[in-house]
Amino acid sequence: MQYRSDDVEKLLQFLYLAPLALLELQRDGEIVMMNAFAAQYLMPISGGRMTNFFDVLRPHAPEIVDTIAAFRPSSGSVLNNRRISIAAPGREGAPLYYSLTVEKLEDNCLMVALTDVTEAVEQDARIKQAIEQEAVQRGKAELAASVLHDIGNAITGIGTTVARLLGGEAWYEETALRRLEDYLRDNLTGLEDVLGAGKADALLTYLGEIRNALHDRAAELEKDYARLAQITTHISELLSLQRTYADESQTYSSSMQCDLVQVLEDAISMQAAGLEKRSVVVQRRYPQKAVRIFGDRTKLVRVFVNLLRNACESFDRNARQTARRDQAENTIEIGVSILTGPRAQVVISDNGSGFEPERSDQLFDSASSSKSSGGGIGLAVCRRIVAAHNGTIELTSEGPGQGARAVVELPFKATETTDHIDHNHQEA
Amino acid sequence: MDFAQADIAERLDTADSGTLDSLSFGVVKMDLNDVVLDYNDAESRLSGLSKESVVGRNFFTQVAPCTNNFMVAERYHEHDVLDETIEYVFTYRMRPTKVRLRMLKDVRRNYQYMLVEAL
Repeated sequence: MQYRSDDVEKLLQFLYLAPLALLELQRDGEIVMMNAFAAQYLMPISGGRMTNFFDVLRPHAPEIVDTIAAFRPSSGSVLNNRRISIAAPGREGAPLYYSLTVEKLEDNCLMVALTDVTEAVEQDARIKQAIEQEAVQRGKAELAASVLHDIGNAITGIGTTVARLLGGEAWYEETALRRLEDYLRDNLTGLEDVLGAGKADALLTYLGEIRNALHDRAAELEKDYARLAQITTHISELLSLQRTYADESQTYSSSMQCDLVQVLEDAISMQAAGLEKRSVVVQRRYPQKAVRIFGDRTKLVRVFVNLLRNACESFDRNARQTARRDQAENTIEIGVSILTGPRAQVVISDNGSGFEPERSDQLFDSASSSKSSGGGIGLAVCRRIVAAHNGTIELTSEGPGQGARAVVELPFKATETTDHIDHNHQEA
Repeated sequence: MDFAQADIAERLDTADSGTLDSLSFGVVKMDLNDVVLDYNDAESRLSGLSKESVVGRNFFTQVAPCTNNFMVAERYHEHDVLDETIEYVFTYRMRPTKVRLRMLKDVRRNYQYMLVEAL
């Protein structure tokens, strides 16, 4: 047995156990030396013949063999961290990835370093796939949100029309017929002279029947309108809920800006049907200048639509609780002011039914609602959206019958000083 | 004892170090956790590694990383009972050396073996 000094054995072990494959080749690819990791990496792909590196590599990466063989200078860098993929047995089709560096030292001497980068490549692929999936998901969510938004707009239009139909005057034709009946009855004697006794009465009865039929028809239509209104509201609620889900998969960007007054006006027009139905007077107190805030316009519009709808619905409870509803006009006041911070503050107060003061916090729980119809999910979502904008939202009331007050505060962008269109007018 | 002998594992179990050293082929005796217990002279000659530098170390990771792949090490890890012979290339003293390996394992026994024959 040939013994080496300790130093030589240590050096040998160092090369032998270095955690990368090292090989020395002749110019024709014959392996002169190789360490343990070279055998570990290359044996499984070599088919058991490990005497020539080119033979091992050729079935997997012929172009690499050609590159090395075609290298003409007598020394220099032949390949630098070239990545090759290799179909390896025992990995169920998943390729191995090796990173290959080849240095020519002398005419008949090539040094090869090879590392297994399979794990890094697979991780990169996973990350890339995750990013792509997220992009697809976001695309879908955006598409869904925009489709829902369009449908929502259409439904809002229908809602407005239905509200007009419901609030319409009693049929003029019915009144006209009644007048005609009254007129004929007043002149019954003269009519009998012309038509003959009994025939005038028959004419009156006939007119009465037409009027009754007309009345019934009107009542039926009224019922249909009411049902239509119900269905429209139901659809709107469903859409709004779906939009919440679609929107939540989108991210809020802090670079977005919008005009708070525009946001409020959008919300008011979207809630127009509900306001009109209850003859609500909307009083606005806006600053003269534009109020630029940081935030996502569509999401904030939804917050204020929700608050306005709650205010509107509180008038319905008022109507049920007090026998005569019109002691005071239904009024919603919307005020915008700038606070230090700087923050923009929106106060929406109504003279509706209000609520017990101690309930003001639990109103934001997704499970609770003082409304007899519809879930309380709206306010929970509102709070989440406002919080995502670094804002706060509060709902207070002095008590039942005392009206309610919603206060929303949002970060304000102080630089803008553009003059603003004056919105300070009243609208019935 | 003969490299291809059927009952060689039982014989090796009872053989002492001197007997192993007298064999013409390499024998690596390991416990079931791959730790080297004995390393005979024939194997020492092939590898250039002394028995003392190898005993007590993990064979697949510390002594012969050239075998730490699915062809050799993983076969030991995946099977409770193993008796397979393959042709392989060892890198004794950094030189590629063709060998025939016989991989022997049986979890009901205390030891596992690798027999090595230079080709």
